[in-house]
Amino acid sequence: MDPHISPQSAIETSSTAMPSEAPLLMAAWAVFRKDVRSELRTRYALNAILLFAVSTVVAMSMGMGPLTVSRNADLPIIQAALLWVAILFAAFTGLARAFVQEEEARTAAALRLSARPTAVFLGKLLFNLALLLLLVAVTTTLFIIMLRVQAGNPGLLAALLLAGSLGLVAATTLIAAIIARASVKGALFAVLSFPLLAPLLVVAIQGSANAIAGRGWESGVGSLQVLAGYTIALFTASLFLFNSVWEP
Amino acid sequence: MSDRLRLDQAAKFLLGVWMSGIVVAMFLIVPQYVGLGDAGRIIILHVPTAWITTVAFAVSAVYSIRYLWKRRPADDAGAVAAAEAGFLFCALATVSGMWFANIVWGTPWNWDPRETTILILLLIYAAYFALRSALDDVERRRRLAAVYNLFAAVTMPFLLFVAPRMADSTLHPNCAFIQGSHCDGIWLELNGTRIGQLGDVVLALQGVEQRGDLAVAQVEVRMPGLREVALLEPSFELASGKPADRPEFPGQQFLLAVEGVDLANGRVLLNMEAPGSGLLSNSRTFWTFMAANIGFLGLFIWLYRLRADVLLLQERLARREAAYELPA
Amino acid sequence: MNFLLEPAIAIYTALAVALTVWIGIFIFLWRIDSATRELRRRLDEEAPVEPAATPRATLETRNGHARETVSVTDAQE
Repeated sequence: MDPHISPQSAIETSSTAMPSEAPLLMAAWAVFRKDVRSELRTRYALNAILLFAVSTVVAMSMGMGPLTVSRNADLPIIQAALLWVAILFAAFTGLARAFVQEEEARTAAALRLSARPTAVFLGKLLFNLALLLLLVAVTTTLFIIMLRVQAGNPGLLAALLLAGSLGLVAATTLIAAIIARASVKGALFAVLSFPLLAPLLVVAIQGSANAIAGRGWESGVGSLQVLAGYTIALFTASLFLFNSVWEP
Repeated sequence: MSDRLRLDQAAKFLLGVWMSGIVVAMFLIVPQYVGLGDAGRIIILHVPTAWITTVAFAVSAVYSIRYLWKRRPADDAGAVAAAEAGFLFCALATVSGMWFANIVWGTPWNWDPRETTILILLLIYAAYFALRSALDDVERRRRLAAVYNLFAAVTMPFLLFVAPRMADSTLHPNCAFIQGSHCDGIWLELNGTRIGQLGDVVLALQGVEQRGDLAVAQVEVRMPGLREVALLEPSFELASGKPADRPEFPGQQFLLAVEGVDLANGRVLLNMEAPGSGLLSNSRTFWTFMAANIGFLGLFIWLYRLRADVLLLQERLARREAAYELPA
Repeated sequence: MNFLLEPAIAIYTALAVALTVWIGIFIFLWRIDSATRELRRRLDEEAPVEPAATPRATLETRNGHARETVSVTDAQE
């Protein structure tokens, strides 16, 4: 789409105008900006993700109506599980887009020439994170309104959603890059991601249930620590492995 | 070369005899275990296959690292072959375990930590094969499959860490092997945390009182698949400090026991017990079990190396066909 | 056939079934093993396979001048 991927400052500083000489974070930021711009032009992933999230939440509230505490003591864990399932499946529909679109538009080769692999990875990771945070914000707000959830500890819930999103993005960005080269992209993304996301899902749902039930911060610290460790481990592994994925 | 071949053949023949011996020992030498009956013999098949599954996963990951490093087709063939053999053993362990659980614990599946772990492992293997079949270019298929294999291996420690925390107890014996698992049961308090979870069973402490030299707890039990709430009354012998009466969970074959009591504060330590703990303390069972571990390991090595050989030969034949342009 | 399932006999029946299954698997593996070895021996004895004949073209640029080399290798009969 946009052949001038390097930011203006990078070209000014290096006389040879080789984009691979641009500082890593600058290049990553440029990839991120390019993705945001091309996404705002087509709004493909945005539409898909948000509409999916809205339909899921509406379907859930139509199917169950507002659940009331008096009828069910397990309410927090049910609500937390439903919220995370909605987020997870919406993420499966949209997060692969960043890499799949490069292959479909045949712009991957140009991107390979213009930026270092690590920069590409970081830029796409940033883009996916932005997309996912938007998704999480919309889904959670809708969910709280339509299913009449009374979050007892909103701060903890927000922290867990943020930490969970970070982990989700760290795990799925590399997989998105892998499936972009395969023949059945959509289904494969969910199939490959789910087993890796199982630990994250368990921890996030348990923590969120504590938060919805209104327990204190000490009930969620363990979950937050596991999520942080998970994010760091998968992010580091992705950095090492991405070079092999990004080879032509 | 010929000597080595002869040694190879002898080792394979020995493996055949060894495993036949284990099959015989499994039925004739291993004694019946009280509470399990003949179902207890499954330990000879089930536990080694479950172990081999994790070994296969590690072997596959090591081959994947070597492939990404040296890019030799032989390493990729090793990784696939180990994964395929691992998948086979994983399916065997899962099915035999479910069968056993249905007979002995009264339910084929109850989200025990090991059940969770092996299910996810099964899904990872399946995803790995799905990925391979979706990539057409040979070199790319090998590279991306190796990357996915390693990426999945990175999440395994988290799974092993998280799964035991999903439940505070396990039905599997010897839970000391599971890292982070506390098989100590849960403390419930009348004036504090009254509700807790053991496995997939939710327990609510309703009361605790002293009757003679016994402390009797009233525990409300809710479990999946059971419509009504059941009230169990396990008791605890105050003088000897041991569980006395252990009622069975409704519809299932494991027991609820009180393992500690603090009458002054209304606190009770509850745990569940499944038949099968201490199975390996019998020396005949123990040695058959060890021999089975060795035998299954040998079988795994033979299987995966044979499969790797076949994969490499297939590739050579395909290349040869392309070179001679043989009709299909 | 019902006598096979009587409590005293059943365990020997189970043993016989399990043993038969294992021996079957063993023979199956053994045969694949020797077939593989034989196939590999025959492939090794064969002359090394030449890569398929494909016309190759190389385009080089030196000092702004383009130079083209075309080579065709014939398949060996």
